[in-house]
Amino acid sequence: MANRKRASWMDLWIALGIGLVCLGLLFGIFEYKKSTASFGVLYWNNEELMRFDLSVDAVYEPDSVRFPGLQIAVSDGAVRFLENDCPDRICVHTGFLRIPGTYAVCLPYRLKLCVESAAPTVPPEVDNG
Amino acid sequence: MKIKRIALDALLLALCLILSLLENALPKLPFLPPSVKLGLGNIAVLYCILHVGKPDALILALLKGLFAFLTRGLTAGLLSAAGSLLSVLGTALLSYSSASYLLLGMAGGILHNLGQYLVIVIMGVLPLISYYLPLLILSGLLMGSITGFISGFLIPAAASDKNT
Repeated sequence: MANRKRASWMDLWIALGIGLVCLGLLFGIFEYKKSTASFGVLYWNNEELMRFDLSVDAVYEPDSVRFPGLQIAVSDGAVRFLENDCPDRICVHTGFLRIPGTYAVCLPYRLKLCVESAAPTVPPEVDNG
Repeated sequence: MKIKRIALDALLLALCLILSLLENALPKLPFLPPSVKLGLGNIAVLYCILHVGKPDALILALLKGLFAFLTRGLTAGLLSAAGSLLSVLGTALLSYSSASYLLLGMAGGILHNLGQYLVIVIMGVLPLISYYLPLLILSGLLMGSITGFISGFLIPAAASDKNT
């Protein structure tokens, strides 16, 4: 234990390897989700609450009874949590989402705002008849 | 001896919490997700793993989670406990080898974020594979490197101070 080094060259190679794999994974996910048309969707407990047309700039209050402080804004083809009364407000600080597949999450209220591609995610059924 | 150890654990927990409070005052890096933190408290946890005892480090992780639960609610408590426990378990296993402080820090950072991501997946908020996963691994790697680098200077100094 006394001979433990501060750092070694091996650490650099390990970090580089992990970093490259992660960057590749990020690139792959974004390329897979890329599409010309997309829309915003707000989920609560994985149940769809509301869809947002990203071509129309507006501010929405999706469910003022259950989530009184919640506001969702759509602007310039992007969507964000504008206001929320959750403790950390991490969802609000995430800012605008533009690319399909990106998320902003509010864990205290189990809300997920994401941009989804208009392209079908489930392959069409094969008709052999 | 037992009382001395309990007192040392309590001191390390206090140090963890103070370091966590201090890092909240630091400016956030703009290219990282808003939930990503430096994790300076992990330096105290790493010291505990290497020089106090691995069971003590596990208790420290659980107490950090309990503190997060009491001050910020159930979700924050679960996230903190899961991240800390996985991080301590992984780092403790790696500490049996001659891995450097930097590598221990990187492993701790990545495993901490993976533990938290696992809780989010179990809660059903995010799917198993999303863009958050590589982003969290990358930020864990970066933040873990910083804390590991600092640990390489602080922990040997603190350990030699303890022995004298």
